[in-house]
Amino acid sequence: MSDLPILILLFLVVAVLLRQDFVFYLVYVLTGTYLFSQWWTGRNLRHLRVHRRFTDHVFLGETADVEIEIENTSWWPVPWLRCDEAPPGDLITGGGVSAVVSVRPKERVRLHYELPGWRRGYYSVGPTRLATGDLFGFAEARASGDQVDHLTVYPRVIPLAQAALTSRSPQGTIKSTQHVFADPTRPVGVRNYQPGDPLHSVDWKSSARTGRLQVKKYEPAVSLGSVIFLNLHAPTYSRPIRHNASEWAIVLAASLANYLVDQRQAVGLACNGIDAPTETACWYIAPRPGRTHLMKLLEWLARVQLAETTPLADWLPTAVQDLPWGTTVVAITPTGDEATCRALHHLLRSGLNPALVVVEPHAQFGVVQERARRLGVPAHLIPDEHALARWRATQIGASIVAWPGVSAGGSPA
Amino acid sequence: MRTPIQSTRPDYRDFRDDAWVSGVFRPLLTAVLAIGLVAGPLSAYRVIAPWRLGYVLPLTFVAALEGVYSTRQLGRPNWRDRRGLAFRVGEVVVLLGVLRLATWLFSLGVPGPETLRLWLVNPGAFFDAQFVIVGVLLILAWGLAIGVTSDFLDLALQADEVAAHESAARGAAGSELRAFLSPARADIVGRFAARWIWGGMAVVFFATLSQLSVTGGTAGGPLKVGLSRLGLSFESLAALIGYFLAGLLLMSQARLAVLRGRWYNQGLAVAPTVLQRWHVNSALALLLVAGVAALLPMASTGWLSTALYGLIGFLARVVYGILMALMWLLAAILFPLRFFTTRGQPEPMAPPMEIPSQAEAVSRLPAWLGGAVLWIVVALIGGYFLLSYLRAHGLLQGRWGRWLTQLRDWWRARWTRLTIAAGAITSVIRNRPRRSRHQAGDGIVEVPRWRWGSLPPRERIRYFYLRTVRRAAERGLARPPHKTPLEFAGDLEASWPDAEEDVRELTAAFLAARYTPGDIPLADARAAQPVWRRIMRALRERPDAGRRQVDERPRIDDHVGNPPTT
Repeated sequence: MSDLPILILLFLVVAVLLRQDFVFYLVYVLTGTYLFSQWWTGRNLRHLRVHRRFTDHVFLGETADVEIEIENTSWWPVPWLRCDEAPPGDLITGGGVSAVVSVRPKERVRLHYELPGWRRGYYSVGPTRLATGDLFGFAEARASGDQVDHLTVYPRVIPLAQAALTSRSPQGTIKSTQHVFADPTRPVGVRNYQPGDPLHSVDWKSSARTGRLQVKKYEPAVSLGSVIFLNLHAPTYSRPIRHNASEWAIVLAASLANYLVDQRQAVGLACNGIDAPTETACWYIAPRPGRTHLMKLLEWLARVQLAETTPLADWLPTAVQDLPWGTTVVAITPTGDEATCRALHHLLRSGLNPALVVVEPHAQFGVVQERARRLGVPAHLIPDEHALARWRATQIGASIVAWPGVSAGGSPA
Repeated sequence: MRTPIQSTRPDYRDFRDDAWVSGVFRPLLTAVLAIGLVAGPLSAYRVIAPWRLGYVLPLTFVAALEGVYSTRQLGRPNWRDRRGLAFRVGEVVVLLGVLRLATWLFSLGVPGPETLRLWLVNPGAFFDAQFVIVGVLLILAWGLAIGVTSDFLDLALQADEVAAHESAARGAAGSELRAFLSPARADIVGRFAARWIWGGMAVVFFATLSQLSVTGGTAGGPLKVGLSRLGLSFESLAALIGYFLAGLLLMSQARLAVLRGRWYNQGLAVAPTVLQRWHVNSALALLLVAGVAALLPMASTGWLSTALYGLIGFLARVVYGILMALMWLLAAILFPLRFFTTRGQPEPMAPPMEIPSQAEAVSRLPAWLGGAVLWIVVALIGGYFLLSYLRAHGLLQGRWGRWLTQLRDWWRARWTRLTIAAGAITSVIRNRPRRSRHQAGDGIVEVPRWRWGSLPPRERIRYFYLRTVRRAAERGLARPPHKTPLEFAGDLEASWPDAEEDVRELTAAFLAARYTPGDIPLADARAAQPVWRRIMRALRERPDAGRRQVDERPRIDDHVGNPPTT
């Protein structure tokens, strides 16, 4: 159509020279069509509104149904509108939308596609790219929507019925096998008085009823206030399995957090990885109980990324300064190197209750375990789901409740 | 129910873009475009010749639709064997035949016997000006319809594209390389647009030409060219505007085809409403623009027109002045060379006048023969192409097909008989001179009369004498080998006394030709010819029978130019 301006010009000359009205009319029609197409195409995009609706938080394996609503606010139709929205890079096997629609005046068109949450992450959804044009090939226009939303895919959470974590905090909500942690708020019965029993434990009503001194029996319980330290310092991980091992570490952290919240314990989370949206490195979330707090932890775990930040051994001493006495510190790290073990030993000496969980398969984990034991820190090798199942079963058989030094590290005291 | 041995290969119809190829919207637009192409020149011809041309535009519409239909059919894979020049020429024959009938029925009247006789004598009279001009316009419009339809067939999704899209290896580099790459759709649209635009220029040019009135130019007066201000007829105006509106709508369709192909190859989901509303949207947009344009002032007297007129006039004067200056400069440069180029050159001789020969001037063939032969040839060629066209369209099946087969068999049988009879006649004619030579045994080869002129005078006289001897031998008076010509002349005179002087004269001419060493004048040979002819006539009689017919001897003048009766 590059010849059209020449045609119009020639017609104009003919029309002017020969004073031919019908040629003038042709000039009007051709010029009018050209200008009308330009004007129409230009205004179409300005009068389009694009809205996106979807569930922005999904668990792994769930699917987010994305709805794009295109609204034409003008009184002119949009003859064709191409709408492209590519799925996020890591969810490329997912949907996305590439469609061509025609929108009438004041009409709303809805497009749907699905984003399968098959991988943990924090994904940008959008912007929607729009392209339209006229009906004659004179004009074409493109635009990109400014609405960018985010989809959070939580990490996988493996339900744990038991977790062999030690505690130094009495009077918690977790049953303990050690009567020294008997909780006076959890009476389970009475027994005959024995010399040495404190007087405040005497149940006077039962004593009056039976005629003999009875003392209350309390269920032993501990409080397992914990902070999970997740080591996502990239160089610490072995390069070939860096991605899988770090992802497994995150799954393990999410599973432990879920378990502890189920046990109505306060859980905190600290990580030396980078939070994707805020680009914050070495962040810390104070321990709190409750499902809401758990979702917060999971969201941060969904967004965190492996990065070259401060090594855990260097960051740990400063990160635990505000933790109360007796807090259990679970360090999930790829390897139990000496620096990490020493850092945990310092925590032990500071009155905290550290535990080491190694997530990379280690051929000589016995050496690590022995080193940690000597430093008073229990060490566990959980490189995959099968190991987690074995570890859980072992602990179920050995110590149902929170264990004070049951593992290789011996007594925390 | 599918049996296990049934083929499960996809049919070509599975890959055909039926949604695009079928439909009536584009054919109608194409036909309107073709009408507009014809309307411009037609309006110009209406000014020149006062013909009744009301039938042309409807006929053009039909011709364009026929072109669209046949092109669509030929685009189908199952019609691929029918593609070719013969099919198209058959269409042209049909169109011209219909046009010829239309010109007779609607404009010139049905031809009478006198006209038919005129066509036989002068076949060129069949192609009158109206038929030729309208025929050319009709073929142009038909060709435009074919071209536009071909463009839109090329714009459709091609079977190879669909197959590549459906292929399991789609997206792989190898699959893309294997795909047949048709010309880019944008190029096809550009081709169509160029055809439409330049056709539009021609249409406007012719339509404007019809508005010019040429006056003066006689008796040394200046030639004046001006606008007649008569205006175009309504149907011409509608057709002209229809040309551009239909072209714009077809451009919209081409645009849709380009986008459709792009969307398909990129795997986009296209809502059906896009294609459904496209026609309506484009038509409404164009109607809106056309309506608004109709409300605008026609501007021939507006300020814009006046300003542009002045500007163009000024530019024209500037260009004219520059050209004049250049011409003056060129003439000044070339003026001195004139003396060198014109000195000493003789005046050119007038070409000699061509004088027709006598044979050319006096033709012995009947006047109608050439025309009849020409018409027979034209009818045969036209019939062949017509049959090709009808056969391609499947119109020769059923009863008509059987009838034509019978006609063909009948004709073959007659032709075979004719061939056999002609062969027999030819064989008889060829064997006749051989037999006579064989019977004569004198070694004389009979020379046809028309070849006598090629014989030298001496040989011609010898030929006459020897033929006389042979005729005498056939009549029972053979020349003995021991007798001289003079002695044998005595025998001839005795047997045919009526030819006595002629025999003597021919014998003398023969002796002169046989034994005189000098050249024999041509006049002697010519003089011997009537003598020999009289002798031959006399020798038809039996010996001694000529005495009774002495006074009945034919005069020389009566036989000049007649063939010899040998």
